[in-house]
Amino acid sequence: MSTPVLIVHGLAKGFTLHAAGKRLPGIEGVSFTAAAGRLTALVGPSGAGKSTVMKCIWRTYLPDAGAVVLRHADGSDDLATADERRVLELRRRALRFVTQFLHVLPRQSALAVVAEPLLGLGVAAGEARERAAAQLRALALPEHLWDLPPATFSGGEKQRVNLARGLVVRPDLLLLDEPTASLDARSAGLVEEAVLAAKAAGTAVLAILHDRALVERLAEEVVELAPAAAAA
Amino acid sequence: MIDHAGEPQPILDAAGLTRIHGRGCPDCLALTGDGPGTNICPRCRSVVALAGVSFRLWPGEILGVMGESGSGKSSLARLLHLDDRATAGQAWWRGEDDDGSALRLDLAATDGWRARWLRDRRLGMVHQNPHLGLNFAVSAGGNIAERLLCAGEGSFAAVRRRALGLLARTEVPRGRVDHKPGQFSGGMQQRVQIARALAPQPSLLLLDEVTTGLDCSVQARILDLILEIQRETGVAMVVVTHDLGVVRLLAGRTLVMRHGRVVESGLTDQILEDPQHPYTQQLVSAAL
Amino acid sequence: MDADSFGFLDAGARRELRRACFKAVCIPGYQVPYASREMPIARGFGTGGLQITLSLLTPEDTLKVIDQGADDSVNAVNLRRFLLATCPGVSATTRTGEATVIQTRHRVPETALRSGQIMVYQVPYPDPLQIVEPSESRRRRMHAEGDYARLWVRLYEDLVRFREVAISNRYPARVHGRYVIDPSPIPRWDLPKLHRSAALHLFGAGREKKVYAVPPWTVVEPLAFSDVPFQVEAFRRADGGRHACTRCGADDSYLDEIPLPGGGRRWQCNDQDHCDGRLAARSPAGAAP
Repeated sequence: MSTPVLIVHGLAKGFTLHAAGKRLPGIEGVSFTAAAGRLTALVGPSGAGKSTVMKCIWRTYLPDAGAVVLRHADGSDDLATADERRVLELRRRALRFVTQFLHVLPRQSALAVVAEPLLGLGVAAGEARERAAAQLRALALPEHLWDLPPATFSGGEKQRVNLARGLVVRPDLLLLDEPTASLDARSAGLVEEAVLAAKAAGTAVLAILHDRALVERLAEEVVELAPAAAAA
Repeated sequence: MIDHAGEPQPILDAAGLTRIHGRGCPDCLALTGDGPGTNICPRCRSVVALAGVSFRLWPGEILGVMGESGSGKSSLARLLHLDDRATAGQAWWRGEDDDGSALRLDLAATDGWRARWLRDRRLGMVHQNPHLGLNFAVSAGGNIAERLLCAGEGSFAAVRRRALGLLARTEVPRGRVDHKPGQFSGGMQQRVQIARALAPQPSLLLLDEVTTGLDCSVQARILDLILEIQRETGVAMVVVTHDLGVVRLLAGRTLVMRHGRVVESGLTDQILEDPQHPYTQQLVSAAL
Repeated sequence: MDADSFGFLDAGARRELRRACFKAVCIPGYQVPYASREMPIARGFGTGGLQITLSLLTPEDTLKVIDQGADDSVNAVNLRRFLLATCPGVSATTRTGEATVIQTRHRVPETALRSGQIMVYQVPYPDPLQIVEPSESRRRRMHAEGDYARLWVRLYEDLVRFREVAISNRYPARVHGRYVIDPSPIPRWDLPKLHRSAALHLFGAGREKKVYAVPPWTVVEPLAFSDVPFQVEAFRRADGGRHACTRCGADDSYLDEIPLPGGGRRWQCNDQDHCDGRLAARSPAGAAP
């Protein structure tokens, strides 16, 4: 097995609601790894904390305890404690999150949406457009759509733009939240192919997957989560 | 590629910024803030607009400053634009002098010609009220020209060309360039303000509630424009707003202010999805 | 002779005005405030210039007073009469070359000034920033910080609207590379005469209580964009040539356009002394050896 890109160890996260004077349990003692070129599937029933784990890695949630070590081209960082600026830098370069939704500027063309993360890394405009075009071509997004804003696209087309935007920087770790949810079979197939291509390119993929068949087809590793209360 | 030897320096490093309006007393800071729930000192009636505000702003970053009216967020913007002086604390700005040499100035204490130089050549401000940011007696182009002339441009052709370019960039139709701002819609007035603020190619742009009071679609267009310009120019921005939607769209990191204090700071998505402070939780839940 | 007690002004007023003038000379273009006195003529009729002249005159001086280039207009005559009546020993002349002190309204003589002469201008509005900023305290700050961008904006707006700068008189000029002055309502034609002039130029605003100066040999630059040069009045004829004075024939002086009773117009030197001098030089009597 290749070296882990992501090491999650003893991760815990709960939520304090000050107004209600309540504490909601989240996850506790979650540990797993994700390796380069492999897909690690997060599975478990609703409320098991799959999204919480993802958001702790992305640092939308501040973990209460544990470590989230990301090993990337320039060293390694514990995302649970890394300074905010560092997290933003890693999000640009080493870590990408593809959710079910695409939040972009409404007036940007699909090509610009995909090229934008590259511009953020200082890639020249011409090269960024070429690499974005290559990525969209790889995901079989029809070329006549490239100059249009994705807001007008179908769900499958949007999701492919979203994925292209995540993959174009060749991240060390790609986080996927239900990448094929609500897609028709053809679109889902194209997304699957893209995920396979990302793995082949050496990206570690961590994905929340509901569909067991999809897990069978795509995942090398499976991490089963149970609700925190049950785990405690 | 990350963290090389030449680690970039913050463009702004604020430490302990405090602004007290009134004569002040030794208990002002202790008797105001989150605990007492006020920014008016009960002993001397002074208003503590800012107390111990510290943060860093990095080149090319957009920092959100969120809070309700009276939280001190606009006081902070005024102070950073040298329209006001701090009672205590520093705000170190880093940049280049006219000859390209490195320069470090405390925005909280700079006065005289250096303050004017900073405002003319290195800082930009966009106000909520266009009457504060624009000269309504001269044309849109003239407003831009004024900033270019302040920054030392001496050629009419160059001033005209750059004014037209900046207004085109902020989507003001070419035919309106010689019209006065009073003839414009609110959204277009804000776009002219943005063009005016950008004219000297500042390294730091301050935006104070720039979309407040505008229609939703107009707001969206301006926020898009700000983001596009930020990506093109790499200008660092401090975005002051009471609107969660604005920080969500623009800012990578956000400070939450209340009673002149920063009660919480973090990644914007973390502030909005996993707020830690009771006040932030209340703000976020009220907006949802 | 004690310079402090001569003429209409009391010693205190005279001393204060002289101090203000000294300060103005020391800080070229800076508007020095002074306590403008009540004069026996109304404010707005040249009291600022009058007070400066009164503070300068000594019995040895030769005075010339002009209004719009004329020595015999009502304003000039009244001021001259008052000055001569209150300053014993002072003589008057209409000849620019003979005068030591020249009080003027709206013109600089065509005849080149020489070292030792003093020009005294009657100034209605001393501050060039007044047209762009109503608050005096803010204007003072703008002067202090050298912030003249709004004047430049005015030039910009003129160029956009009229394709040329439409300021016919009171054209703002930067003195000694620092302060921008309102050179009183002299035409653009006269502004280059202030640049490196041999004479001392003192400007007095009685109503606004300000004195400022362009010392001898000082650099005076009209505000102008690098690519749109400052231009003086051209007096172009329809055929492209230049109008000349119908009286003395001068084609290098500032001209007045005078409508003729039967329609049509004629052009004549605005500077009466200059025109007279040229005529005298041409006539047999004037051409005497």
